[in-house]
Amino acid sequence: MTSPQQPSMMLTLHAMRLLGFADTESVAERFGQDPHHAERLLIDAGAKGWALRSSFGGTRGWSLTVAGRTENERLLAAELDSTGGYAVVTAVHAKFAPLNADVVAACSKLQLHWLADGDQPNGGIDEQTHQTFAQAAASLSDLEVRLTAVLSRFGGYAKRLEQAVANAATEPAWLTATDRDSFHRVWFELHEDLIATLGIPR
Amino acid sequence: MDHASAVLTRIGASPGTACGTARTVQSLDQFSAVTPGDVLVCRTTDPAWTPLFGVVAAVITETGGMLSHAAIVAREYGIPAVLGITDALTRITAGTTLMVDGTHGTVHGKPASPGAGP
Repeated sequence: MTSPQQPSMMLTLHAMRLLGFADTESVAERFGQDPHHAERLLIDAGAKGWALRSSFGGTRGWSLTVAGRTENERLLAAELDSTGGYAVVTAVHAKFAPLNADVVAACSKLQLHWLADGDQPNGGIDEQTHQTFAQAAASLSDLEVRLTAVLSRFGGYAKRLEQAVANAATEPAWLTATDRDSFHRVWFELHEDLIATLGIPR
Repeated sequence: MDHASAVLTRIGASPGTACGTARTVQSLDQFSAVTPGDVLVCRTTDPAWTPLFGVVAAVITETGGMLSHAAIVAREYGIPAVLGITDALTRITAGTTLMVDGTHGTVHGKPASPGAGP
């Protein structure tokens, strides 16, 4: 999803943090790591008690343990310290907060409307809804430029959000679904990325 | 919530009703204890918790509301969610059979016998 980066335990643990539960290929792909290297790192993480491989919902995958989450946060803090990016990420998070309020409100409004109607519309979304999500993606694109100036691993969110909006033109599920790279799923991941990077508890 | 008649009321964030066994989950390391049809009771959720929504019958959280990520994910899975119940993890006893009404925002213990309900 982003430009290839050197395999590292930090990126491997962080991919699991952002994806929640994912197979080896997905963990590797999240930060453009080589799958074989990623698998070695995952096995190492498992041996250290940082990751757990299990079956869930019919699929096998990896997830972080509490110890893995703690190690992930230690590594993220060290990364932020080494890049001197704290001020930038903090400023971006402050700009993100009101955008997040708008996005979750827009997602909820859509879902409640669909629930009241009994189904999602077949013909895509109306112009106002499109504008709401397109503007959020555009605002995030500006913030991503600032983030990637200090931490390149933040690259890719804006492109994924724009793709979700484009797909929603014919299939509204791309705004809120959990079974694809929908707008809300990407946005939720970005939210987690920002607060994990800054060490902010939910 | 030790008594079958006790009712907790908060924000009905995802509509519908469901009945299941209360599974209090404090952290990632307790995910394996969750079984299909349980009622997930937790403090809050993040992306790591999303797969659980595909397994459980309903969700109860201590934080969040109508516009939280948990509410959005619960609606996608079509499961009831009552969010923002203060101290839910301590007020709800693990293993209790719960009836969750996400439309009206209520949680109560399933009556032990017909006519014993709230």
